[in-house]
Amino acid sequence: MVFDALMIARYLLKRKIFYPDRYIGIGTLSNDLGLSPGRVVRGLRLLRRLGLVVRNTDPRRKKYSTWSLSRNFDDDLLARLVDYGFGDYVATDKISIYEWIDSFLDRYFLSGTVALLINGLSWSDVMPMGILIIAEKSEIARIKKFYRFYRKTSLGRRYRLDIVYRQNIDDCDYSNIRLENASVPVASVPQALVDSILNSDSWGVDILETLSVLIGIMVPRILENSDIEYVQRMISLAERQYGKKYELLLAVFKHIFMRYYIYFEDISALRIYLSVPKGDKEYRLSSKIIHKINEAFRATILGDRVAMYLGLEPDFSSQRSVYIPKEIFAVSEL
Amino acid sequence: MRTIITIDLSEESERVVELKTTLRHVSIPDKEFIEKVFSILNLKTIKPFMPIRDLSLYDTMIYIATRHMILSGGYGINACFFSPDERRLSLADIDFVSISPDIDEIIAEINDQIIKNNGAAIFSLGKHKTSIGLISLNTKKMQWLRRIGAENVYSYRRTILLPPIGHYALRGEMFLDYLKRHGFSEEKEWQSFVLRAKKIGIDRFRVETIEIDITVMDANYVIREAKPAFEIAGGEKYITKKRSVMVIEPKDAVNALKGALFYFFNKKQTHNTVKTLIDLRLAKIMGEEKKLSNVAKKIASKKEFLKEYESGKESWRFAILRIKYTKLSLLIDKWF
Repeated sequence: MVFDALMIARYLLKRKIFYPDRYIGIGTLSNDLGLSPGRVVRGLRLLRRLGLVVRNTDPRRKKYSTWSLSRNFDDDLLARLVDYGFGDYVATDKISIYEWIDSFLDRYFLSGTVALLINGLSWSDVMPMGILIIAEKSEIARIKKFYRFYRKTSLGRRYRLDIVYRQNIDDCDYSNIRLENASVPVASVPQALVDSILNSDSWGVDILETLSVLIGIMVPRILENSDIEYVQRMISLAERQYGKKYELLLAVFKHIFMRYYIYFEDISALRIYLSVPKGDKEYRLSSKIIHKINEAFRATILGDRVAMYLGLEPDFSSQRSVYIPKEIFAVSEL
Repeated sequence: MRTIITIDLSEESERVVELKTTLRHVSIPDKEFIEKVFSILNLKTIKPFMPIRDLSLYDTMIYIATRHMILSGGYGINACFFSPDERRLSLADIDFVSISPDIDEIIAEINDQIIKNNGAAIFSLGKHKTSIGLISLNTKKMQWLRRIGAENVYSYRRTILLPPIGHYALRGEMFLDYLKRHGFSEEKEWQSFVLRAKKIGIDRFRVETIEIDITVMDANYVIREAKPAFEIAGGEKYITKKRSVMVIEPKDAVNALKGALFYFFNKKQTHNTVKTLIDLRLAKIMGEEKKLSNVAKKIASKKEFLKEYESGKESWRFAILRIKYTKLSLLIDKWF
């Protein structure tokens, strides 16, 4: 109803349909906005209760009633309200999109790469193309309505939303983080890493950035403190929330820690690798994920081309040559 | 959860004696095998580590070759294509070709396999820990490879724990030196551990390193059974299970070796020229040996190559061949 009311208000404002000079009928509104007459009436009623619109004609002849914007508020205030509702306000930087989303949703939290950014973790300062929202199943109807409206707003074209439903979001690890205008529910770092890795195709996840944060920031911290518990916590979050799919996370961890061992012969990495539980079957990572892990290693702890030149990292992007370098045939002294 | 053999050296150093080795696809040979090898080879200078080194290479080769890697290089060619009395000893490193560029993924899988097979162990003393048996990146060789412009070659290494065999000095670093290099001597328990190690004999254990070079390229392969270099002395009996592996197709190998031969010949690298020519006997299997007869004759006509084969610093590599072909010219006459 709120979304319909906002659409109606914007329509009336754009066409400057102010009392008493101009008015419009329900049929026209219904046609132009593509809403059923019933929804138009409910939206108008809400606006009327807020004192934003007035009904012009004989209440006994409802069918022919017309409506106008009230003169109670100035155009500017109304325009700001509509701008806020449609998310145009976000463009002015007075409010963030997360705070705006928070106006419409209840049992949800932000996750994915955005959650890492809000938690202050970023490697390349990359913002994904969208937002990953984890919401409770009971919110489906509300979120569907919100999403139908969201697609029509200017934000809908800029940020794509991906929503993952959970039976009970209290099973997840999130907390409210104070932003400038509102505190919004945001996944903790382990939860955000789990959600990002297990929803790597989501618009709200930049998997390279997520893996860069994991490999470049979190893994060195974990190894420095031999913090096996941190890894176990992520695994248990994933197992509780994602069921069988959590084996993907196990495979990612195993791959990252074994690689760390291969590069640095770090026994802590080997110990954590050994502590990662075995899945039911041997899970093979897709080549896409493996390449992203390669890139993340390169982008973070292995450095860039300098390290590659020094031979500290393999060059995965180089084109394959068609021959074996001749020097390779030279023997090393036994 | 996976487990790995973990030995706390301050409390259970005897377990190293029980562990003996991290080799799993081969068993540790007895000293008679070493003696037999040298009686057959009739070498002036004894290198007792050679027969053991051959088995260490074989063990490592099996782990890697059974993971979609194509065996190549001197070891692969000699282990798969030549009869026991026609082998050149290639014991420096093992070369592989990988069609997949995701080598670290494959190495991670191989390490996992080694762990599953109980072929790796973690040793700890106080806060210091080290592992033996797993494969890791050979950063020094990677630097060299990048310097020579080999962008598609990756180098790894694997450490192997070996027990003493009789009184023979094996190759590799002394176990205690290896631990010292990893900072174990900083621990207060070090001295007591050293005394205990000497008492139970683990001070004579060695840690050997196997080099593994992997080239990423497209290559064809054939399936062959790989055999140890010292099959001639019965080395086969120490292999716990025989396996067939993918090995580079002779045609591809010959093409690569041909290029290398001309390169070494022009650069006047005597030993490398001789050993590459010897491996190029593979051309005969394909009936292409005549194409190489000119260069082979040139080599046979030069003293330095003949001398290299018979008594050069690295001539021990040709010890098996010298039983059959006392001179390089005899070998060239037969094969080219």
